[in-house]
Amino acid sequence: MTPIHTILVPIDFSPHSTKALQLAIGLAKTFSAQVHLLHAYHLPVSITTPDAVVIPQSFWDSIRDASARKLEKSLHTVTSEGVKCESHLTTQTPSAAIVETAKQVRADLIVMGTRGLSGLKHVLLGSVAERTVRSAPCPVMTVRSEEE
Amino acid sequence: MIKALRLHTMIVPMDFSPEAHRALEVARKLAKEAGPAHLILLHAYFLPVEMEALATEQNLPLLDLLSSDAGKALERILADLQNAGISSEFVVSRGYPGDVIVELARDKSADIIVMGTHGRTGLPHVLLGSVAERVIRSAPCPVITVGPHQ
Repeated sequence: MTPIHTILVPIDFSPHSTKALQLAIGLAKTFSAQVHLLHAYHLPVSITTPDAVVIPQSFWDSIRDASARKLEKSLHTVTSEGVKCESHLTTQTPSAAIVETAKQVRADLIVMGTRGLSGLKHVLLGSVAERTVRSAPCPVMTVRSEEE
Repeated sequence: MIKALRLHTMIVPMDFSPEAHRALEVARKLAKEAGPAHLILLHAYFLPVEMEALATEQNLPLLDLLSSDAGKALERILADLQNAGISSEFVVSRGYPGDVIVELARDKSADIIVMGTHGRTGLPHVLLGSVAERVIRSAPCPVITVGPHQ
């Protein structure tokens, strides 16, 4: 393992990912590393085809805009801590986006919550975290949120 | 302001698999660069339930052998770590590894656990080992997993 220069933090704005981000900022300071934020807003396919109802483009645009605004806020949280940061917004499925972005930015470490926004309360390890852990191109740090 | 992260106590489960050794490499780097941290190597050995019944008086020498064999291998790793200036110790305990790891992390107030996604008993087609999964789900601290694709 090379020293940690690049940390990828997938966020879905859930309490878990917020905690992961705090930890990633601490790590970035220790290693003078750069943080890459990634938010994937993927809608389940079923929502897109209820009886072939056409969803107006404005609906998708508003989701994208809301995601972009939240991501911008998180980016500001990181940069205001004096840590270099870039953000990535994608419509890919989260686990695929995480692995791909990790390769693209040559992440040395991925820091993420064990369970995200869509997780059922009783599921202790989310599917996104599980998929990331088993297919990531670099070590993965998983963080649980206390309120579990 | 968020403080730079400093690690004080790290747990590295060691089952002598290639992945455990790779996790140890990651842990060494972290212990030096994000430390100085104290590194605890943990070897848990587990007998399947049917075999627990065999843990009788007459089999005690065998159980001792299992633990002293692991102990010897851990001592070699420990010597290597200490030569590199990393404060370290090892623990050998009998029990289901997933539970033993989480328990030790709690007892020692570990800052982090660094481990492989697959251990020695892992089936190659299983993509996430049961021990790693258990630890990720119930660890009291963050967990760094080192997988096969790295």
